[in-house]
Amino acid sequence: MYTVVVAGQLGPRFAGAFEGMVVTVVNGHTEITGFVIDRAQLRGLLDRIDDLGLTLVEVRSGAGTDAAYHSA
Amino acid sequence: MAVDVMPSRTLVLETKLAPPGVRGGVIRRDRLLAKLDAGASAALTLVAAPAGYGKTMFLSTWAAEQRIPLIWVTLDPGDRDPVRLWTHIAASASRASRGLGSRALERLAVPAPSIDASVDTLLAGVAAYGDPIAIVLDDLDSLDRGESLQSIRLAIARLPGNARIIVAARADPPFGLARLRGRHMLAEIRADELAFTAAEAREVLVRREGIPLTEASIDRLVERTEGWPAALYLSALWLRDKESPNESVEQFGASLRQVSDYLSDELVTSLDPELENFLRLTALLRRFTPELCDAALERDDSREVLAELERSNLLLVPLDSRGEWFRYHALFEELLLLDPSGTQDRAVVHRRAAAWLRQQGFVEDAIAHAADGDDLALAAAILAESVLELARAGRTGFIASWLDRLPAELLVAHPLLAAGGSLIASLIGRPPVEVERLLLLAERARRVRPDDWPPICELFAAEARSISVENDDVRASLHHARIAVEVARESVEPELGPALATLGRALFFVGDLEAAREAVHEEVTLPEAKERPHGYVTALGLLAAIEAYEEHPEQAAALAREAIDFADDRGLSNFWLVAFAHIGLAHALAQLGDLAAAEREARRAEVTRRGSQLSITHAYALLRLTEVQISRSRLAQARVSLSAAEHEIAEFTDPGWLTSLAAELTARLEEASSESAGEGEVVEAPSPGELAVLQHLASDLTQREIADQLFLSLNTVRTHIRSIYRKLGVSSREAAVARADALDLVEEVGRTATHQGDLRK
Repeated sequence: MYTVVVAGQLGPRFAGAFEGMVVTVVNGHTEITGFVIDRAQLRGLLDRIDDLGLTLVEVRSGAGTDAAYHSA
Repeated sequence: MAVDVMPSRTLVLETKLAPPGVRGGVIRRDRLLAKLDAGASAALTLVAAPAGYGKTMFLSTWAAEQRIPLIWVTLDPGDRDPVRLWTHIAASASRASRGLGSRALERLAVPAPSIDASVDTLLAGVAAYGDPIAIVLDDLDSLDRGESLQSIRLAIARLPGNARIIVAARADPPFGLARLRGRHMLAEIRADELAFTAAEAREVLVRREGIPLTEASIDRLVERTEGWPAALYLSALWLRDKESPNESVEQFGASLRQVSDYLSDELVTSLDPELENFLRLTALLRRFTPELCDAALERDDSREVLAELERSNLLLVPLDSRGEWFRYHALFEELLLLDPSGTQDRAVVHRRAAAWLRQQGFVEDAIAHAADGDDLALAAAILAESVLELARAGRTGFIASWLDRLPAELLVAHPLLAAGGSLIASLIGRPPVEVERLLLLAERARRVRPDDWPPICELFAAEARSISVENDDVRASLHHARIAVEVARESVEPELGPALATLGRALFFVGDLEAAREAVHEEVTLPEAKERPHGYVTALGLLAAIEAYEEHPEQAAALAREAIDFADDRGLSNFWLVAFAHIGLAHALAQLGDLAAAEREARRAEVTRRGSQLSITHAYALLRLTEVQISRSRLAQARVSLSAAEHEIAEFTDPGWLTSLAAELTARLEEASSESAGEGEVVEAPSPGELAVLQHLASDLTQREIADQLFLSLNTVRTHIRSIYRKLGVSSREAAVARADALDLVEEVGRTATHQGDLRK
């Protein structure tokens, strides 16, 4: 389980932008949380963030904050 | 079933070979342009910044003002196939200076295991050109990490002094940048330099777009976007029609929403739904002309819509100087594609696009769109149509990757894919199980629809089987080779050459040299033999091997050299089929008495065919090597080679006459061993490390240079040298070299050319 945090709040259009991951807004940032099978998949996720012109803030293993996990 | 298509235009996509036209609204960055010019003395200039920093626009502006010729290529994911990548670079080179890339293009058209020879050929052309020239590669990230990216790294290392390479990328490529920086071979322009200052933002928004913004608003915008050019251009569009732009900026400043998201949302919601739909669906096309848009969306006004878009904003990027091909700015395209609505429309759009592209001859794009439209059946049909052409253009990698993706039923439905695929797989050295899988599918196709099984499929399948099974059962290989030749003679004459070469090889290993000679002789005298280089090289090499066997060494050597030169010419030097020519040459040289050269050639043959799988050619090369080593009294080495050969032969069901050759050599080795026991002085043998140093003592290298070459410390080298002197009973370098030569401990003195060196003439 990984959580990738990007700068800024992503609007609803991004809900489905990251397959299999949950996108939630927390404290002015956006957290993208979900199961990552292996490093290649993580790299793919990071590349996608790059492609969408988003700014990476943090990558951490584990679920996001509690608040993030209950909304969607 | 036949579709009226234009000849494939896959091979070179013109749109990639020139910078996109410079847009009217683009801002000049004089300081950066000067910096880019100043970087001319560095081998590599890297323009590294995330999407939307205007790298392409910047390079296009620079390109438009250059007086030196530019080799421009806009990269895309298709260039992960190194053949496609370098085909486009070579084509672009020819446009920069007439004929510059033509030799490389010839080489590229022939499948080879590595791209290096073609890269070298192109760079040699660049060096010969002499005057300053620049290679510009835009969008390096398309390449991902793979052979293509490595080939560019190679090119940077081997770049002639009159050339420079400029790449634009979103991330630092793995080119050993730190090292290049340290050697002053790298110039960089990075995001912080490409970001807009408040002054530049004012230029774009106030002066050019005429938006009445206050200084405070501009500052807020620049701060909020961090000078990110894409965002600033988007805000220009967003603010253009606002009644109170300064207020809008205030709101924007307060919002926490992601910049690009906010701006594009605001922008897109302000458009009318029709235009929004147009944008959303055409974004799927990635690269498009007005005609393609019309075809894919079933409308007739795309030209007008695109003209309006181009005129009024900077999100539509022209891809060629004639204004036919366009794409949306990468970032905008991504955002447009995020819209989850209308997934049904999307598949339809992809399929219509595939149909149009196929019609126009853009085979590779057509196949990709068919797959994106979830219509693999269409993709398979298009691939089957053009597979022969693609194969002859050297796109075997592309074909192989699609064969991997297509499900079995589709390969059965298109026998040419299964049969042709199996032959390609066997030639490029895919594992036997893969070749087998494709052959089974071909077989199923033949049984299920015998009327749909053209002779060329029969031929390809038979050839593939012959090549695949020769590494187990030479008699079975012969059986299939005979079928292949029969079919070729009767119905597929253009492919007779390679079939004869395969037959010749099978006959050779079965032991019927007379028939083998006939077959290869016919091959090399075919009028168009050279149009199928693989077949020609094989046949010529085999002929050399046969002549050598029949003790006509001068003829054999001449033929072998011809084969090797031809292979070299076509970039096939490392291809396993050339091993025969080296074997023939080794055999001939041994007969002519030049044993050192003979051993070199035999080793070369062995290395060329060495691989993880069994190979009868490899076993034969080892046996010839054994023979030479016995003649040179290097009995320990001969024992090693013979043992390796026997191990390989033991795995075969039927290795033909190699068994008796191995037995003969065993007997000779016994004889030689008993003769030499007890004779001559006992010299304590130098260790492998010492031998390596000894080899270099024969050259002009200093001890320090030898240490560098061998990746050893100077001390270690000195220790080895002391030990060598002791073992050889000498006290000087010259004496050591003379003694080593007399004892035959090293390769021919004075020739320390490495394996690599031999290739690069």
